[in-house]
Amino acid sequence: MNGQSQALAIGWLVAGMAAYALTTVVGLAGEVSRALVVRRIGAACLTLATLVNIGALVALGVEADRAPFKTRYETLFLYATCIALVCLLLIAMHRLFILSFFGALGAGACLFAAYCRPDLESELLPPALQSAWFVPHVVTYFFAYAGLFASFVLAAMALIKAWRAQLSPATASIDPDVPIPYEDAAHKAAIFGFVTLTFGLAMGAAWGKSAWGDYWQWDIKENWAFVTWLAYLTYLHLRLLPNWRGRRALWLNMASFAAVMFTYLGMNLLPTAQDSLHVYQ
Amino acid sequence: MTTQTASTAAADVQTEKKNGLTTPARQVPGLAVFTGLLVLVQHVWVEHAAKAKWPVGPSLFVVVIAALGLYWLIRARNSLVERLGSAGFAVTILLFLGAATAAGTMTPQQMTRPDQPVGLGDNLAGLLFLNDVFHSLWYAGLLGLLSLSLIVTVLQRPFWKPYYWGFLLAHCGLVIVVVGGSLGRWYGETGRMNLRVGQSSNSFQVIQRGIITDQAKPLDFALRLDAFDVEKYPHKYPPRLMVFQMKAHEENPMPICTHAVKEAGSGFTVPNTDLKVQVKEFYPDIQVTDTMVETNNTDMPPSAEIRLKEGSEEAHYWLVGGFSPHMALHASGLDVEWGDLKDTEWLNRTKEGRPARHWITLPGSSQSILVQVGQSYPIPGDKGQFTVQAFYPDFRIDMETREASSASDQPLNPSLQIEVQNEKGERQRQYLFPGAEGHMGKENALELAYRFEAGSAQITHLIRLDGAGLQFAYAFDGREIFRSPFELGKPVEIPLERASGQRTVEFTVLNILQHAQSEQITSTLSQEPRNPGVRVEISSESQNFSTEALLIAKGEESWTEIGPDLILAMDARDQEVKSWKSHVSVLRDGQLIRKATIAVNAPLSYEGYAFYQSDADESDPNYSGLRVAKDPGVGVAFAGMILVCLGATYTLYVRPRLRKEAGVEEAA
Repeated sequence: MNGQSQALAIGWLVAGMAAYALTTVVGLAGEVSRALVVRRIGAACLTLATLVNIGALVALGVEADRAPFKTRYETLFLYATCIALVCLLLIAMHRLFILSFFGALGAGACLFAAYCRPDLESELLPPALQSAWFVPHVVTYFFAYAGLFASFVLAAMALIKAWRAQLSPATASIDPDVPIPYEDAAHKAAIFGFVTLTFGLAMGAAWGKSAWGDYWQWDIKENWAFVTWLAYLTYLHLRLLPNWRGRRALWLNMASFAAVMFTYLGMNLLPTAQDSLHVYQ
Repeated sequence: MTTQTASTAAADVQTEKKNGLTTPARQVPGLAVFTGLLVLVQHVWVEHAAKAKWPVGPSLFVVVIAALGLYWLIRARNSLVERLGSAGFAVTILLFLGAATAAGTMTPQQMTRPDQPVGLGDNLAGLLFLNDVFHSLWYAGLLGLLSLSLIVTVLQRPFWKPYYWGFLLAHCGLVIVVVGGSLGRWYGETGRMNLRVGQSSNSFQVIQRGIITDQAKPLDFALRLDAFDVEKYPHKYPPRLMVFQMKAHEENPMPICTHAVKEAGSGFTVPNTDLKVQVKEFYPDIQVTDTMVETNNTDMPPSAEIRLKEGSEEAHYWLVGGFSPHMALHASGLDVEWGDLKDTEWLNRTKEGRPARHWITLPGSSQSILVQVGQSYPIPGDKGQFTVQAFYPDFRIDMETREASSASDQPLNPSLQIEVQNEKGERQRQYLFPGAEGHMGKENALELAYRFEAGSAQITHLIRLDGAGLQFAYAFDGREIFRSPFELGKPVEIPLERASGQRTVEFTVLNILQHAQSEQITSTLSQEPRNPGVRVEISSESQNFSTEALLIAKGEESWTEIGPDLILAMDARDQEVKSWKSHVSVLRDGQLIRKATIAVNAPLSYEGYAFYQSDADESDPNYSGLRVAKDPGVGVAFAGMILVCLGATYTLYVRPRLRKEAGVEEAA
């Protein structure tokens, strides 16, 4: 890394954080005012912030001279991008304008975390990561994580709505601008996340076979990816049961997202983490 | 949308409603009993394997529980199928599996060898086999029960109808993955093959449950390592100084700052402190030479600069008056010392000395016997004999090849290799270490006590230099062989007595200093950053100190403490490995079958075996570590994964559309 390219990547990072911060303000204003024009401006701001985020990701890739998906720092850029893109997609498909606020909040938090603990310099790819599976496996996983983040947020909104409806049924009603209930939206986002997780898991197995000769080594990261997959599989099935649909399933959805975060960021806390082939350094 | 699809969708919704009868909460007790039974069975089996006899009490207990379980199953057979095929039942198994998997990540795995079973009651990890949970019977049992549940759930539905194709693919796909994994577990083979360039092997070392065993699996062919290439990335980064904050229990701390070093004069401040680090001198390929210089301090001893040359070998050093450096040429015990030649006591040092001795105390005896390498000794009670095969002064063992060696000639970790042959003629190798309990080998080894007696250094060849008298003498075996005056810079040929015959060494006194002190000369061998070193000044205004340090990246002085829990280190930034490539030949009966190149992510497949580039040794450029795998279930497992992906996509995206088009409401 030379100083010039490092400064460029940091510059894009700061611009991205600023763009997401603006989007959270406009997005929140849109939800408070419920004015469609403000909500649309919020979505536009999120689009602009996403473009800046993509610029930051590209700058990081240019600086590293490879796909920037190796370290925690680099994947935070990718995760922010995926969160923003998935939220934009959900806004476009289902008019879930509240995701302008939450998407910007989530993506901005990722960039902020990256800013707080940047890589001192870009790293070279070791032999195991020089694989055609590197990019599709990582990208698929982060799109899955983004979908599950959106599901988590929408599940929280659904629970909040239900709680407010209990307190004041007259004032808390389904948002007329949103054609589908939040619970349904959370379910759809979880489906996207789960299906993408499944593909990501299969890709990881294929890569493991070609690199290490074993498609499943009961590595800690693999195990937690499996636990995450099981958690959402459980959620999707339990939601079919009459006495589970509703609040219970929503809480299970939110708890399953904890597994996502643990798999992505929390593994270093385990005493056995150093045994893993996947732990970020 | 056809009427058939509409009715199928409606029936599907009704099935989902019925699933409410078998909620997860109701499944937990039965699954807990099932899991507990499997844990008990495994404990009984493990205990049998350890003691080679059946533990009657626990076995009866298991049989009784199993019989009760079977009785319950028969009584509940009418609702059993419905329960097995319900979503609630499958979900409960998923929860058990999830909890087991999570617990497995918090317990170090595969720490328990298969031949060292963990008994009941040691701790929770031992009780539930958590330290090898993924190979435990109860984990496998849950996977098997899940597969059964998935099959039943598929059979409960008209899976031949397009509406259910996704359901069929997803659920059967998961079963197929389990089948593929099981095939790999039961019939697969995994191992390691370590080769050096020019070496071939027709077997590999078996890996079982993740542990490298002593067992070798033969192959019908051989693999020869013709060449091994290590490609490194070009130097991307200059050497750097790094500051670490040391925290308790952190084995690999992250640096809090780094500073690229390209030339002298640069510097930086350590974040959150006022510590300043200034690079005074930079040596890309540092060489540090200790030399002596003349001093006015008359308390300092004299020193002589000596050169010894034997054949093509040359040794050069400073001899300080009053000290006897132990300097070896060809590691053959040639010493040079400073002293008065009138004092003949020095001749005795070429005669004294004693070699190392090995004492062994046999079992049941209080007497020790002196043993020698290469000799055999009987074991009392006609229980066979043991042979002392080798002595390793500084014992090391390669855990993969199980080959022993000595890291040096110094008795830092002495070990005696013996082979025990019992009355049946069975042989077993053991490594003995000093101390009553020290031995290494398989169980049931002969309990021998080994005592090592280090020998005294035997100086066989000694040159004594009398700097005051400007002469020197050479002695061997207590006799003075040669004496001569010397002139500075003029070499003198000395005949040395060697075991291989008489050899000649050229002895030259290059310089004599009357009063000398040591000085370090630092220089750089080249501008290539092979072993960078820096002289830095570290200062702090608040703590009012300033100090200098010499840091050498590839040396013992690569780091220094600069503050409370703060370490400053020099990092060479060696070129990182880009790829390892093993160029191999496949041979059968000595005939070349094919040539291939094995690299990471590019294995070699031959006759069902796949060879993967696993690792290399930075200190040995001719070594290549290969992983060997044969998995008859891998195709099955991947087929299953593909089916799961397709099935999940169809079920979660296509089927809802079919329902919507059929006008069927989702289950309420």
